Amino acid sequence: MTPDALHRAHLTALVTGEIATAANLRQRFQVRDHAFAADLLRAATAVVLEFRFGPGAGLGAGPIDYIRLGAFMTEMRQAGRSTVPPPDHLAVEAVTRALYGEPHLAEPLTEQRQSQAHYTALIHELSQHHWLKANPDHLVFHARKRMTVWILGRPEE
Amino acid sequence: MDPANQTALFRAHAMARLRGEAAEAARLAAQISVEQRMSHLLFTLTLFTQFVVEELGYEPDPAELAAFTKRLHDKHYSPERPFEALRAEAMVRAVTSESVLLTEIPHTEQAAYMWAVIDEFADPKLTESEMDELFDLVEEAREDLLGKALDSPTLKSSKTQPAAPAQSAPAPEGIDA
Repeated sequence: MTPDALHRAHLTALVTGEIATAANLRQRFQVRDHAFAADLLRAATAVVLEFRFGPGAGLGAGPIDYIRLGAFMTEMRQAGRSTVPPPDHLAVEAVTRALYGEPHLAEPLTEQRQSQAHYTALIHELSQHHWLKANPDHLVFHARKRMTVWILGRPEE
Repeated sequence: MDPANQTALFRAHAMARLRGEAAEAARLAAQISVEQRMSHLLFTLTLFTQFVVEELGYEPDPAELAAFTKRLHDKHYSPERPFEALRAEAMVRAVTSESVLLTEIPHTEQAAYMWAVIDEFADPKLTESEMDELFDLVEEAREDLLGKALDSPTLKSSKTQPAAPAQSAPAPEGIDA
């Protein structure tokens, strides 16, 4: 499997909730693949959060609408009530606001805590968009485009 | 330690801290025993609430608060000291409109984040009598705190009757305090 295909497959497994498959794929990661996968997950989260908080996540939009953010966090706290250990909701708020003009909020969080928070936000928002969850290729495509912009500073030619 | 001594110790510690006397504050903090720590945290929480409400009111503006949080981050964060400014902001929101946040910030970290905020709000020229006045308010408020200030607005609406205001019992006469 090429590195490219590996990362597509990994994100697809995350999006469809196949945690075991994702973990197996990570066994094949080289050292630098972990950071790449973390970035790709952040890109996917940015794409999905735009359905709720508007366009431009991670591209300079912001500040976030704090009332909508409050509603989002309340929904997530309700949904996460029976999870043990409980999700780190403040980290979710940090990475969400970080995508909308407050990057300093995520700065103190380790990469692992950020990824966990991105994943919590991603899965929660996906639960509201069944078509998107059922068509992971669409999301993977847009997440990769978002990453290209982050890396090159512009869309791919 | 009897309650009066305990309160005196908490007050002395807070006073030293507010005056920026770090060595004295550390000396007094060392006298606060493990058994007193939760009590002390509640004392600090009440003191913190006074400053927050005085400065920002009961419904802080989120945009203003975000700017404040950015300032705290710039002041305190470094890779060696992963100060989470959002936890400081969350303490502010916890004592104003989102009490749930108190359940999500580790208790061992709460005092440090509260002091980071108090340091921004406290007037360094507070006189001793002004501080005493403040601490009296804190003690009154401490009784109210668990009953009222920590209520969530959404829970409040389900109550038909607001709870009667908490009143401290008068000291029984004829007993030496």
